[in-house]
Amino acid sequence: MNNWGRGYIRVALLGLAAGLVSMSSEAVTLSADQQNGLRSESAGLQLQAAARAGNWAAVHSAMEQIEGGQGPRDARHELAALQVAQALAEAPMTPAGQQWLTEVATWPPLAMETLPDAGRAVAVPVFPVSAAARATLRIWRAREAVGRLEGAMTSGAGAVAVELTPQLLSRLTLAQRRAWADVLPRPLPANWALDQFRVNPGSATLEEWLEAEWRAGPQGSATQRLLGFRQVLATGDADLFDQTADAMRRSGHLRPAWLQALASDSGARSLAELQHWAADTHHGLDAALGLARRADGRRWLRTQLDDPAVPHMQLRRMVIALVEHGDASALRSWAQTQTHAAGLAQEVLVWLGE
Amino acid sequence: MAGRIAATLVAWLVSAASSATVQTYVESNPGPNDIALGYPVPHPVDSAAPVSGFRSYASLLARHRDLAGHAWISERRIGTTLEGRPIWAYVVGDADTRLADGSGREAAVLFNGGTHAREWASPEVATALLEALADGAQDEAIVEFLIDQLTLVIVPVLNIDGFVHTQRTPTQVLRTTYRGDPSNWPRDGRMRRKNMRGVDTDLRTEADGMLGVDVNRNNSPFWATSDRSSQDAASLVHHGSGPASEPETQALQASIAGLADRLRLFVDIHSFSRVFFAADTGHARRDAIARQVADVMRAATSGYGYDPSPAGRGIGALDEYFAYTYEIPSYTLEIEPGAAGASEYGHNGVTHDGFILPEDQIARVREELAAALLLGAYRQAGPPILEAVRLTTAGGDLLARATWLSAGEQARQLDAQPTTGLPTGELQLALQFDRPMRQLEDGQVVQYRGQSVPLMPAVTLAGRDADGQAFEWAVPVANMRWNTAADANRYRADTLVMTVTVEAGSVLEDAQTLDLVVDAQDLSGQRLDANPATVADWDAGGWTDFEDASGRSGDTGGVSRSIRLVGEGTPEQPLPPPASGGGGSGGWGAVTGLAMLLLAGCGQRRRRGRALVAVCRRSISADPA
Repeated sequence: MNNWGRGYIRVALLGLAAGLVSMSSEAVTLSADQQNGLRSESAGLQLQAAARAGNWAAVHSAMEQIEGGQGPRDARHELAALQVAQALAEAPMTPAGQQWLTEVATWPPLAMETLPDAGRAVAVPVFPVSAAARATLRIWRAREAVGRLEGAMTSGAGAVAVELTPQLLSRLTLAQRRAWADVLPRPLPANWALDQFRVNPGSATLEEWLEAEWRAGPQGSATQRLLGFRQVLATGDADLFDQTADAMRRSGHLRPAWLQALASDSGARSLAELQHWAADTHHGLDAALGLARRADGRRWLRTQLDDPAVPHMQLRRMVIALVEHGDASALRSWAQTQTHAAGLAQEVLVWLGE
Repeated sequence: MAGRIAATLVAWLVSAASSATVQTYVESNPGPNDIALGYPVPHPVDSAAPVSGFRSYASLLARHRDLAGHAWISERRIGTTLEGRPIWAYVVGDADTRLADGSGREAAVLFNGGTHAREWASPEVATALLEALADGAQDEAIVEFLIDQLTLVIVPVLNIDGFVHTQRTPTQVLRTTYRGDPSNWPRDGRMRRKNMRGVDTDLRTEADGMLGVDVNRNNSPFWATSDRSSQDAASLVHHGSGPASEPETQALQASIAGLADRLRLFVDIHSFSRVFFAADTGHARRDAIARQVADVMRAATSGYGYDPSPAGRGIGALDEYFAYTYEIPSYTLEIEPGAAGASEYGHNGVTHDGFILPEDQIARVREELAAALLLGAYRQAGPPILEAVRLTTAGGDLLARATWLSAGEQARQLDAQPTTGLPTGELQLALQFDRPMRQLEDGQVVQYRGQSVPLMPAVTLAGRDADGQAFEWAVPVANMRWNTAADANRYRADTLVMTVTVEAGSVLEDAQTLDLVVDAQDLSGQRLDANPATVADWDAGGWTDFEDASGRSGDTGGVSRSIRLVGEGTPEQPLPPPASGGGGSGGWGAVTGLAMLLLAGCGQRRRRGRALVAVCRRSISADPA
């Protein structure tokens, strides 16, 4: 038995003596002091140090001290398993480790804490060991996939059937992401397709990303879409801009992010694109908000306010956008001189706090 | 000035007793001061349109104002935050405050979002309600009904200052330990819960990071009565200086000005733990109805629980204020995930991550909870009535009709024209209810999300034959259909159309009197108000004039026997049930159940001899004395 294993036993005995450890596997509620006490007594820091130093023998040895198939015996046992599960993330992948993680991933939570600020004092797991085991298994799958992709590149075997997860993506270097484009299985998920566009911007990678986002539909991440469109604009490539603008005319799900990205771009093409969408029934408000975020857009919006040909809904949206972006004095004087949109002018004055 | 000095002093005291660290939420590969969620860290999105993400406050406000451009949505300023931001409510409904037929008062319901700053899913769900009510105004279904028959008040973001503060630092969080609390839980920044009383907007100034008042502990009648709120200004559950001391609390109370006597439902939308919390008030009828309404809403969700707290105790929460003040069903809805936090979606399960719903879940959550809450509003609009009946020949000639019409305040009268006898052949009987009774999707009758209401009601023709003997004939379900969009009356599926075949020599042809007996449930499973003459309303924790089959007012309604199709006089009523406590569906349901059993056997016997007509000459226990 190595030092870590002896330490665990010693700590467990101390826990028993302190009455903190339940011999049954029923859930127990721990106070913050009890949690802090367990953490300070545990071998977590030593395990982290061992992992950082690549001392995998120590990590594997710690794993062997914890029976995976039985579930947590007590809070100390559960904490120890959590720390091992986390330390295994970069350890050599062994069948024993795989089995241990798979077993631990099914453990029911044992140590709970009561959060006074969630629900009405909801009890949540203190040491989420099963989630940690699942997270490490995902990392292991990603590491295995890297190996298979490397093998495919070496052998020239073509596309490889690997799961394109965020964990795998985060492990690849820029050079690997550039070089391995052709061996990735298709179709790419949206985050992978966007990454391919980032590392190799062009019409084909843009098309692949847009198609991936269409497949994702309304569930696709708004944050990721915004980042993608900003990437398109950052290229300064007029052809890519036109390709994207054309695609936006065919699909609605991506338009909010496109309009948001246009708002922070200073180009004339962006302004014209926002103006194009300002009259749209569904996205006119987002276009107006985008216009109001830029000085040239606000100037254009102000010219629209006095145009009697602008439909009321569109006019109202333009005013909403200008109020939101601090054009108070111009709006106030507009509202005070209004005759053809008196109701809206009254609303504007309320929004301006008058 | 004194307040400022006190706040500074408190901040200094907290500072002196705490140590704080600003940490950063990341998706993966955490550094020493990072917290790895295992999923992309949501940032506020400047999109007014709903997206798979969490909208910035400015975008939400623009969206609300845009929606308030509809004629049936108006904006109302209900207060001002400590930082000077207006607090807005949106009032949804048609111009009048009467039911569509003019007979009774519309109910009012109140939905509140954004009480706690970090619970970004809450304003999204509240906004989804507003969006559903804007987009569906002409759906000829539940939304159009709600706009016709209800006043809905939605406060999408109550604690605006706190919400804006969390969105200012979407990835950063202050973790602190201080005297008396060794938890080291995340507090300020993305994890701010409370309002901004005594707090500046700079996350790096740690002294004030613990301050603020928990708006959901700032309410009567249980203000400062529980150890689950605290007078410590640094506590996560600090209850403030007095009940309703905070502008947000006052604003929410003001949001129902002019509507309070019509209020029948309150839901305060929070996260997380996937449950409807409620406060039992000890009023047995109200508590029972609160459970029923919660069950109806829960059925439309993905496994939300129901957890009422015992009467006479509380923590100062908003739902307690509305439950006790107005004796209405009143809830704190805690949005998913459950206690396991984001590990429920396969992520890392770090502490408090349940407050950071992954972006890829929000579109589903919005849709699901908006549907559930709208059904709660539908339920509390009041019980359904059988409003009108038409009996025609197959060629369209009118034989009999009846319509309940408004007769002044809280009353209706029946405008009826029965016939003297039924001709043989196929007749069309149409029963129009006062609301959409079923969902129609692609022309198919379906349950409202998660509900389990019989798709077809039980319709029976009860009368007396030529010898004065009582009989009943159950209309076969196969002969019924709900109207569709093409032949809608007021709403899709508000009218049940059925074929009645009258055979020569049958009891139907010989009937001297024939009454319509209908046992129907609406979208939420609520049974009929059996006596539409008195308009059901809500008062002091229960329904008024919501009659069962025996005419007794209660909270569950029952079988309607209010319309006579054939013969003079009024419909025969069943014997009154034995006296028992509470409301209830009364005796007619049991009578009908027995009759159905008898008829089932009888019908089978007759069908052996006559294939198409299930007619039975049998007196049943509903025979009047």
